[in-house]
Amino acid sequence: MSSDRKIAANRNNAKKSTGPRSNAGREASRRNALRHGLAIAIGSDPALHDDIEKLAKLLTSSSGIQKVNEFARAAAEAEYDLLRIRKIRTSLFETHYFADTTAPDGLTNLNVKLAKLARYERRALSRRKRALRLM
Amino acid sequence: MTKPPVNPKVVRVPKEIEQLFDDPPLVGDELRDSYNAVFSILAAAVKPADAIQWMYFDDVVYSTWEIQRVRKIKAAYINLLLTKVAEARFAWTTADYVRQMRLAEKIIDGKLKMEEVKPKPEPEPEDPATSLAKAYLLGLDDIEAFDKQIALFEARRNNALRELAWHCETTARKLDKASRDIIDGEFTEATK
Repeated sequence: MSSDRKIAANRNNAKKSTGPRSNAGREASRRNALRHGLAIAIGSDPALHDDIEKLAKLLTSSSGIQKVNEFARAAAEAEYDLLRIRKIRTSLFETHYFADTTAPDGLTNLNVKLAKLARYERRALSRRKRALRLM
Repeated sequence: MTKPPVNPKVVRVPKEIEQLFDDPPLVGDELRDSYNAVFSILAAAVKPADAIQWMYFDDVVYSTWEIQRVRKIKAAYINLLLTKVAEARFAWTTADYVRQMRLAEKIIDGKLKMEEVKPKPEPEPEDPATSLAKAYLLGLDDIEAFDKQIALFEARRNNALRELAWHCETTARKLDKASRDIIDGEFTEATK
């Protein structure tokens, strides 16, 4: 637990930081959250709504439950998230390795990007596992 | 329209979830037929019964495929590094260029004749283990990253198998309970 003095100091320091000031800085920072879109919940994509509902129903019937619950929906969403991540993974292989198999620099880039992607995949896998167990 | 991923004669993917398997993660020169073959062999061995089992089954197939792919890429990369190691052995160093310049000066000054110049000696033959060690040193970080990827997918495959077993056990337990309830219900009704 932080002390009152520490909280006040943090607030004072935060006031000093007003973010990027130059136009270029502002332009760069406004796209910070839009690198790959993997942090956006897939359930918010209207194009996938019906597919997610359909899969949630199937998962529900697979576990012998009568009504679709929030966990079935969460599991279905996580499954579609995994499919999305796998597509990105294949496109990374295409761009950084199969485009030029004789360039080792591409492989270093590929490994860095794959390690980042693995984090999102791991999260989606544990979300799905938890939801399926709680269903 | 893509063709169904599993040979219908072996194991049929339920129509409702076919969409999940429509687009296998293939890259480069990977063939859909090869992926289907792995899918079919594993499906025939496991025979997934419901959507949850199919989902975990897909994880196992995907992980198996990824392990295979990363292993192939790792092998190709090591071969590429071996080529670089071999090229480096035959490549000219600064000392070679200096020697060449001095020889040229001697020839110009008339101190040496062209015919007397000996060619650069061939490098000593290197044993394959040394070349391989040099190749590993050259690409250590990337090779380690590939090994991590392989280990990651092996862990994921094992995890999917564990969850599959857990789900089957739970389903069996539920089925057992439901059937016992029916039997008990019938027995209660019969005694009445």
